[in-house]
Amino acid sequence: MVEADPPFVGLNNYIKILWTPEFWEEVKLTIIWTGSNLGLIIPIGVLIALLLNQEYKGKSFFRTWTLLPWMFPIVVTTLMWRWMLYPVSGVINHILKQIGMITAPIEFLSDSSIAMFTVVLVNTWRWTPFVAIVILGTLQTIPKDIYEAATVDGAGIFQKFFYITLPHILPSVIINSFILMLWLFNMFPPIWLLTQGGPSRATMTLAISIYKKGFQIFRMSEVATLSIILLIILSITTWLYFKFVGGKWGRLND
Amino acid sequence: MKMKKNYFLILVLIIAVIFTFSINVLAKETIEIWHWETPPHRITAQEALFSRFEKETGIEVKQVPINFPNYQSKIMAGIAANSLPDLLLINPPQLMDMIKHDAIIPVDDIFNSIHKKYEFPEALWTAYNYMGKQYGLPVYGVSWPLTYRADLYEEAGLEPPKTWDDLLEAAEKLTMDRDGDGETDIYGFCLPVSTIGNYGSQVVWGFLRTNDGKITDLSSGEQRIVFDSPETRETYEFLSKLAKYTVPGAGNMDWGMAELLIKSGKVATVMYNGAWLRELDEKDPELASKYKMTFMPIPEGGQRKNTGYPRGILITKRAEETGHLEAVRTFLEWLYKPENHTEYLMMEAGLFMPVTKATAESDTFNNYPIIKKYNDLMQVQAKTMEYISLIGFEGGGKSLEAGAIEGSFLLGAVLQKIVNENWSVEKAVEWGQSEYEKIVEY
Repeated sequence: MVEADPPFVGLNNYIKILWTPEFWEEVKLTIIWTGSNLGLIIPIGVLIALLLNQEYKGKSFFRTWTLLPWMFPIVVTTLMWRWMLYPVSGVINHILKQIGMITAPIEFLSDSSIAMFTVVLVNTWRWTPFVAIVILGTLQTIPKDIYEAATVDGAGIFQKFFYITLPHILPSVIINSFILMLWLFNMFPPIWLLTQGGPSRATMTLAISIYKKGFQIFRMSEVATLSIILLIILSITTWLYFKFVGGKWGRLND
Repeated sequence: MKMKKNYFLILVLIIAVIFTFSINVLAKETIEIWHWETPPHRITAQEALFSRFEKETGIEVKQVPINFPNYQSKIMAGIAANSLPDLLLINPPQLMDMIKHDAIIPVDDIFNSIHKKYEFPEALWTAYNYMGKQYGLPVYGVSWPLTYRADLYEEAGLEPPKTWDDLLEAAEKLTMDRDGDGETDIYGFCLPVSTIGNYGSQVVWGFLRTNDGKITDLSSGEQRIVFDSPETRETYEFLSKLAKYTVPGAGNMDWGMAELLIKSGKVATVMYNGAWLRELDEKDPELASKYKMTFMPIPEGGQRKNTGYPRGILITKRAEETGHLEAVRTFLEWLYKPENHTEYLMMEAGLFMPVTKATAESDTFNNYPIIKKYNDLMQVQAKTMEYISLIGFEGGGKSLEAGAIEGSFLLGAVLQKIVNENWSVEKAVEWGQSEYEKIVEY
């Protein structure tokens, strides 16, 4: 982008990057980031959707409260979390100290052994409502008489879930997981706003690395190569998904 | 009938010509400036200043505030798309990227005219001079002296630290549990062991320069990376000792977090500018008055140096292409008049320092309430501007890769390797050397 007359280097950039341990470390962190987020967001989202689908007092309050993370701009909510997680003046450490759970402050974002976990939790908080609302939409399309018939036949709560609810929501869960996986693989704002890939590269996913290399040290050709590699990884994942998961479980090939 | 039709066409033509002519006459000239002063009060202050300029001259100045983390990427995209504004606010290391990409024009004539009237100190204007040509005008200064809680120092019987040893002693003594509940209430020093933003690297840079450590050396005419040196190793040895007394959360520390610590009175010593002053003076003037500033402590045989920037204004090639040069010149000549310049600096009173002798000595600036009230802090900040050292500009020339060298935040990354990952100083500095070499070789 910034070089007027760049020399032709063939596949040199690809070879150089694929031979760097740094790149594979970033791929590993991206997979950990995507996997842990999916592993938390989807089950919690389904659970919340099931709760929202029941009739009880205070349901509308719970529904509004659940949607709250999704109502504010991501920059606002993420920075709010960052302030709350500060070891010295953050409210979370303060509460944990008050209730006697800790004696020394926890360095949520500055300790490299827990930084990724913290960022994943914050992101889970943000994205769970999205999954919950989509699944709730599917839950509300299940005819009530199926449940009534199952009750008459003596089915319990777990039987109803595994034999009626789950088969109905599974296609929606699968497509949600797939879309979310694509977003998560490229996701930039939460990690950037919380840690910028640190401390000590503990949260350096490919998306963060691409931004840093492009706009902090201006290695545009490296960034272009990394972006193409990312595109190839995601294309292969998409193909694998449609081949083995989407068709069988998600009814996408119907 | 045909005659009537012709009259009608002529009439339409005349109206069209008159209309176009009046539009051209009435259309005001607009110049655009990009900057990263995004806090609302800074935008409002600039809006007021630029409106006054428009009333006086008829030239509109359109400001485009861009968040600092996105600023460089917008500029790069602007270069690629030939859509840069007429004027750009910039830090000196990024000036080199502008020169490298042939995106700006020399401003020698404008500079000479303003310099003659208002006088820029040499240490500041030379930051924008490259190969004998002036590429920008310093517009305000920001420096990061040592900021300390004078009341705590006094209580502990300590003098403001002058040497590295003094600072280490103070950091140890002032990390304390004041209310006896078994928890540390005050931390002796705030050392950002981080790469989130440039805070970590800028603090290391301040210490490194007081020990004459360098990253680049251009004295022979050829650029060499000289980061791995005894001076650098000594500096990191010292910082690793100092890190024992820093606040928890140092691994994710940025400017904002450090400012929050100052405002809550939790740190005894910190390398910081006057950004906290205006707000703390409004909310807790008593705490504000407890903070004092001094020069960066130096090691034995060291030199007085300081982290800071003379931020500057550049004129882009686009201004020349769009015929806005004269309007830009009128604006800059107007902006540097001490009364206007003071108003510009007061968009963040207590933080932005004058860069011309005329403004620094003017009554308008010196009688401004907060400047008058905290005159001692202002004096130190202004004085430290004379000792500022810029990354990539330190070794007898200006590195064309200064922007990338600075933007890599490697100084902070090396400290992280030592403090967080328990690397030896030798190994970490060696790693830093090879990373810098990769940057300049790229």
